[in-house]
Amino acid sequence: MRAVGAASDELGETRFEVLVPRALAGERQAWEALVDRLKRVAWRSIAGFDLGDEDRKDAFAATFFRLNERLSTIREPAKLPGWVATTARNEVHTLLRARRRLRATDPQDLPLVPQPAISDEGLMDDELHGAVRLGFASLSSRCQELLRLATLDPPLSYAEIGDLMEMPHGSIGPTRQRCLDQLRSTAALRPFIAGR
Amino acid sequence: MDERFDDDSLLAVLARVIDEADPVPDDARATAVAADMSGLDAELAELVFDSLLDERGTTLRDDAGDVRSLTFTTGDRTIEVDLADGGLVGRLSPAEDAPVVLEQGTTRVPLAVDDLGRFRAVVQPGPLRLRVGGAGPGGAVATPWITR
Repeated sequence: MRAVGAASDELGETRFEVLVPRALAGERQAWEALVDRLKRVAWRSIAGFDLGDEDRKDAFAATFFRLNERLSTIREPAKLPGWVATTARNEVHTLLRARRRLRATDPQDLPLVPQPAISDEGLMDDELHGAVRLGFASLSSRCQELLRLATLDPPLSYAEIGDLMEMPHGSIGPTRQRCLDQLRSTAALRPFIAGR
Repeated sequence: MDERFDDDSLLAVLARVIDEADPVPDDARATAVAADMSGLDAELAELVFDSLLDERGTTLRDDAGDVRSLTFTTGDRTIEVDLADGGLVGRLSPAEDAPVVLEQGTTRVPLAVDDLGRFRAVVQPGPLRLRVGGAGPGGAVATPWITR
């Protein structure tokens, strides 16, 4: 399958305006490239909810099922990241409600809040990364959500982030700033910064 | 301040840290890629009723029962589905002897339809959709994916 992967990689930087018609024409690599360009937007949009791993994967998959079935109706391909983020959020809300309704009486079934995986295996390439990871994990869930959405590639606009977080668009920039300041002053980063 | 901690540098490190701490699982990506395998050679039915949603279709209701009722329609066909934990029952109107297929991910299960247009199925966890009809006069119809 090397050829497929390589072809998909070659499409990695291709604009959505080009990828969408090619995927619609049945070009499998174009669809694969769309998934790869948008998967982080979808995955991060559904982080931090009271959802188990399997439910989160279901919401993720459903987002791409919908994208695939709606592809021919996409009028502005450049807005795809925002569309995907919103669709993924809607899937989560539907799932959360369905879970609560069907299983609210069984605490065994209450999903765990996903925690960032902490590993000793040196995934990070230096101490800075480790400190940022710990600092990020200690931020408020609101700051984590905003920073998750504000560090995407392709990026979401402040307007799109504001809609997802139900915050005024104009407050996203200042809030992002405040969250970064909080990150710099976390226990994980403070000594790191002061020591340099 | 150390330039590694200015806003842009910190945001760049965060982007990597977040991806590494919470990567998109390979199997989830594979399911998304496979969505294209089920390319839609059918008319997409419109969801016109979902007991999980309020009348405007925007807000989730608190008082929905244990069975979720959905209604889909195209110009000449209506597909009604009642979903409970573990199973579904449905009905085609007008009643017709059309093949009904339950899709879950890339799994497809043909369902028997009785002469009143009714069908039933055991369902696995995860999103599903129904595909009705084939080469016949009504053409093929598919419901949107149902998250559950």
